Amino acid sequence: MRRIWLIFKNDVKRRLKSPLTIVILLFIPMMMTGIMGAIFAPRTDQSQLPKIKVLVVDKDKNIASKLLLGAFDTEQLKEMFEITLVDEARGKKLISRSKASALVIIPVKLTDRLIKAEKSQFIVIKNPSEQFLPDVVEEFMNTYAVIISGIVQVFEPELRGIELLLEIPIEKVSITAMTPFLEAGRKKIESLVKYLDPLLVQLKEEVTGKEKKKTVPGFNIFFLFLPGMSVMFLLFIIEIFIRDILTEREDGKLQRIMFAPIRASELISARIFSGWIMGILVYFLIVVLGMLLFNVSWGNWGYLFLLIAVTCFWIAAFFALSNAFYKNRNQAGALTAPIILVFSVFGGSILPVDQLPKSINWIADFTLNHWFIQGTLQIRDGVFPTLSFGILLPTGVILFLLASFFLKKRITV
Amino acid sequence: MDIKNITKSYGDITALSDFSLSLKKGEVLGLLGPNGAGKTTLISILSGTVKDFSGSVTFKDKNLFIDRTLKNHMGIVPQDMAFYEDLNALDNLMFWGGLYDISRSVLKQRAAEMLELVGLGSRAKDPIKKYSGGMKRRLNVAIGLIHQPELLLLDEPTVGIDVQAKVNILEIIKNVGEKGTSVIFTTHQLAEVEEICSRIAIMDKGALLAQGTLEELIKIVGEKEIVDVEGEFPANQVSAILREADSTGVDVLSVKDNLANLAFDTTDKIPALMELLFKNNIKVSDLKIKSPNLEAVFLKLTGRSLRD
Repeated sequence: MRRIWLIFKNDVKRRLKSPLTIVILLFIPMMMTGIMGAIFAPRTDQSQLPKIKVLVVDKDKNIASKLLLGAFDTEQLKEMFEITLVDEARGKKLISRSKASALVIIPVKLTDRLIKAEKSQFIVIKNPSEQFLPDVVEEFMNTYAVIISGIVQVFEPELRGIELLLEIPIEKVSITAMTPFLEAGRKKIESLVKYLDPLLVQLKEEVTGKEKKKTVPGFNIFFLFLPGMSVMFLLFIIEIFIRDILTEREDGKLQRIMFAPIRASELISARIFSGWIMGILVYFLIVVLGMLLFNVSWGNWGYLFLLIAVTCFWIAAFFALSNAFYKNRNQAGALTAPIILVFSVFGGSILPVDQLPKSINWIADFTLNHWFIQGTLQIRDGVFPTLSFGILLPTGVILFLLASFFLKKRITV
Repeated sequence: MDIKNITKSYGDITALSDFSLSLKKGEVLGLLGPNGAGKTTLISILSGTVKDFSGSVTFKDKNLFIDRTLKNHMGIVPQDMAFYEDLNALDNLMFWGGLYDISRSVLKQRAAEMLELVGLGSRAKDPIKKYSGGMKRRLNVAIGLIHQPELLLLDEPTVGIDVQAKVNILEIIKNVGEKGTSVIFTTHQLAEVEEICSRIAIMDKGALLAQGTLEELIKIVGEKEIVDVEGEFPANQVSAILREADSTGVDVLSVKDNLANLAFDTTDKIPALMELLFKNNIKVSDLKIKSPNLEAVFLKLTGRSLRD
């Protein structure tokens, strides 16, 4: 144990004397997080958002379609949507030329069908060359359809009465005949107001056990990027520490170390221990920098320490094992970067895993990055990351045992 | 130390073949061998980085590979500059010495002594990156001596340094031997071995060919005159001529392109041989007549020079 500690202290001293590589590797994720956060952060100046161009074909031309068009004409939605009424042929032509984000077709006799409580369908044709804006139109139409359906269900009897009245010539409709329906509708609206303002069912947050006073931190755009970016560079940093195994073999230091009364297993443990502890120290620097620079709230410190410790141990053991098979440090250098990039791309360090195609996003489950990112998200939300631990700790121990076995063979030819 | 019947192979290649060697207390042994002779394998076996060999090594009457504490009494100066250039000399000595069973206070004292011994006392805290090649070599030796070993292995400790630094290092090795430390010293410099070693061992192709004092080894060549013939000729042509000539009283030590090393019983035979070479249109540019030396012994035993 004394020799393991000695080697660790020596490694720390060496890294502090030549910290440039580590500083650069620390700086890059901070910079990337800053840039990504700045790009994707919500903007306060709404006018900078482009208006969504929507083409509307009104085949109903009745109360229901007027309601929808009227909704688009409200103050808030005017800021968001630019509506152009077109006929169907022109609308399809324009959307095929990418002249708008979406084409909405209001079906024929929509109003009649709604009154009769019959099913009808809006058609939304999305511009395939745009990614985000057509989805907004689709979501808006979905919401509108849900609201309209709800209103129809609530006022079904009144609408049936109105339907009967519509069958009578307008000059024969008397106010007295309409009164019961209007009165019933008024009462329902009055009743509804009681439920809506304030809402009848409200959300109350409660936490069981000792952590009653715990608060869930607010949204921070930088937190979406920092854990992923930083774990990617943590892989690079710990790999540099662990690569000493190959470097010292090539430059004669290994032979000199082994000439002392030290066991091969002690040396291997010292190297892994050194990479592990240095990784923890470096990551805590990232944690602190994240708090200072980006106001990131990491959640429970105890959980976070445990997750970082198990992650760094996993990385150190993984690279110790891979170094048992590399011929020399050049080969290690050449193969390490692709391995880390594969981990990072599929593990969610560069893009969120749910943004990857479904055919490949299952690969994330086999990457350290994914489990680390999931773990940090859970810790931020005040939850102990049981699953991340359950995966990283046993696999880390297996990697450590394999690394010890194969490296011992490598050190003694 | 007793090394007995060590055999080590890497696949079809035999690196050491039934190699045996013993070393007495305070003895400085020069281990000579061309590249590929097996010196590095021998040192690797002693350091414990090479396994799967047959034979035994006893040190202080104990099996070196069973009693790990014996390593506290052994030191190594590898051919590579095996230390951390990010650190200064003092930090390096404290680290490398710390791997042995020495208390920190004793280690501090020894580190200071070693730095004085190798003439780096005033530069102890300077970054090693700023050291000259000679200073680095001296530090390399100091690290090997920090724990005061009873046996010191030096693997070509004077490679690539200037004359002054070389003299310093040889002086240190000599002093260490005089103080009772046994030394195994490998080098390509025959003059160095002749200067400081009390015994010399010659090995090639994994086997020990001869060992003894300088005088004992020279007797292998005998009371002969060593003649180096230099010129412009291919090795095979001169070899053929020498084979056909009257070889009585002439030993062909080695022949390579443009250089033939011969040993004559008397110098009387030299004119006849020269005439034969001229007749065969061999251009000779120089002829050196020398007394028998270690180089001649090496040539006779291995058929090649030490630098081949």
